[in-house]
Amino acid sequence: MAEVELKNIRKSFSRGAFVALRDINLRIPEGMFVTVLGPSGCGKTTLLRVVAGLEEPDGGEIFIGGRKVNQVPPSKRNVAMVFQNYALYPHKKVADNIGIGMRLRGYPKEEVHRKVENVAQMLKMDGLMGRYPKQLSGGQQQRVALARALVREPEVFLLDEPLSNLDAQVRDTTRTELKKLFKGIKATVVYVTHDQTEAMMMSDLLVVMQDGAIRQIGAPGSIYREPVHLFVAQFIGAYRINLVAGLLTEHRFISDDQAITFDVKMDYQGKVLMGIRPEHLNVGAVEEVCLKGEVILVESLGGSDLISLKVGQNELRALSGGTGELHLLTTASFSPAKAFFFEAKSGVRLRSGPQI
Amino acid sequence: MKRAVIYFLLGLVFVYCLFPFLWTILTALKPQEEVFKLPIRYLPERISLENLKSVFYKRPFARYILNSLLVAGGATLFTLWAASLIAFHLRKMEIERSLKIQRWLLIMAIVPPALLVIPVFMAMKKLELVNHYLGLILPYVALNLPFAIWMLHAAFRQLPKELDEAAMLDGFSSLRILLGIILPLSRPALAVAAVLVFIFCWNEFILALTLMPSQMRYTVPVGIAMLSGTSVYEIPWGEINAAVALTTVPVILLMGLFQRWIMEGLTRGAVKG
Repeated sequence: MAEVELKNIRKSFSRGAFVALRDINLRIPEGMFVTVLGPSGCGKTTLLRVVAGLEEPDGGEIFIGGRKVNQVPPSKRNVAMVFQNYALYPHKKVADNIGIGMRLRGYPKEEVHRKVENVAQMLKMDGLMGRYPKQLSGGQQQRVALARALVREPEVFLLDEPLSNLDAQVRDTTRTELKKLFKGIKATVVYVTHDQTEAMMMSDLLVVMQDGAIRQIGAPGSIYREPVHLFVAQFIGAYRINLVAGLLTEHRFISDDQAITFDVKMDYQGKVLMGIRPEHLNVGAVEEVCLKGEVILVESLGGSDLISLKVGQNELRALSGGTGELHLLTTASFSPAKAFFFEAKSGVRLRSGPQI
Repeated sequence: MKRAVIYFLLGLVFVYCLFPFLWTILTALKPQEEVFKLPIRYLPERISLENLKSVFYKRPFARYILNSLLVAGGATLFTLWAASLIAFHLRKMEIERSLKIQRWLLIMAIVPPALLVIPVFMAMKKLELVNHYLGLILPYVALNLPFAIWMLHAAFRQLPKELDEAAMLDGFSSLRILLGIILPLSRPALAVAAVLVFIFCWNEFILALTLMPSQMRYTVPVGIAMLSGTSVYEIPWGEINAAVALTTVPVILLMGLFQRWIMEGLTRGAVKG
């Protein structure tokens, strides 16, 4: 296993018309499961392809295990990649699909056979070795793609949305299996996805990207608790964060429609967006800041409900236990400590205390 | 009722299209004296292999066939080899550049071969390739390349790019990706291109006539055109028909054999799936 380091990586397409990566600096520690998360078009797949050597960066340096690999062809970088569409060789049987990389690297036939068998057993697909990819289900094809990566025992695994072509149930079980598997072999994994749930559940380290730049790097929990940017706060979290436009003035937040006001420990003066997550907005007057609103929609999630409240001009969603009695008029409350403030123009998170 | 009308009309068209060919075969099987008999008899009274025999025994027709096979076969192999390399490269190229090149290919395919006869003849004379197989193979390859590249590129484009990339990571060389992955997966298109290029070369007349003027180098179409009787006033229709039948039947069989693939190749990519 090896660490991966990117220094000042830049990449653009169509003669600079589209910038995919702007000055990326990233260190992926050895043996860590790192997820690169972002909406489509944010450059996350390009980042992965640069590491794999399938895309040549316009500038910057790539290191794998301390070795600079800018000029090293993909096959010599000792990385394995799982593609979103699996890219299995349709005319080769499963066993050949898995083993061909080792055969081309000159390993003896018996050793390749033994390793392929091992991986097949590990992924519980012994019975499929003689079939062609077309004869397999989506989940099985995904396993073959994974096996093809595993069998070579590379220093770094690169996974490009490997679960996005699976249906919901298979995806759920595969996600858990993948995590266990990579934990077990202590592999360095770079995993690209646009699914924040997947990213939160699987990774040791999360890299959030937007418009070709890294917005935030951190453990999933810390990014959830302390987003540094409006974009990150919106992107991370199972439920969309509530945002209220307003003004911060003299340690007080006043929403634009003046329906929501409360005291804050902020020195910043000016236009802001206040963010509060649905899971931190409680039904009932149990917390410091109380809001009276009209219930306009209740979405049942089974164990809990998502309740949409109209407070002044704002529509806020609260996650409730699903047991409380709901009236047409309901009070919701939250603790000011759970609220985030973002500068209205730049989206940068404002911290309590004096701003620099 | 409606169905019967449709079949009747289809039958008419079928007979209309096939009649000249049928007549050729029937005439080929007639003995010499029956060919000119009046009133015309379509079905031979007596089936005779006289014409077929004379084509081979009195004239070097076997040699013509060999020439044609060598030229058409060589040109087909050469064309497919070059076309698959070029199409493979087009596939890896940036889309804008690839489109530009494809546009030029189409333009080149528009040039009528007859226009090229004189310059090509001069060139081959300079290269001392007149009456040489290569001297005919080269222009055939040049004429067929745009079409073949275009056809193969259309097939290659259907394959996901990730296949090449996965193969690159697996340690395939570029040539191995082409030979081991792209070509096996494009077999229908290859077959179609091969058959169509072969048929073009098999039938081509003007260049063959100009570039291989010595009798021992005649290809089949030239040989047929040059079949003559003992005097200028005698046209050996029986032999001509026998020769035509002989050379057309294998091509038709070839088409029939690859028909399924040809249909698949020509309609490939028309619908998703």
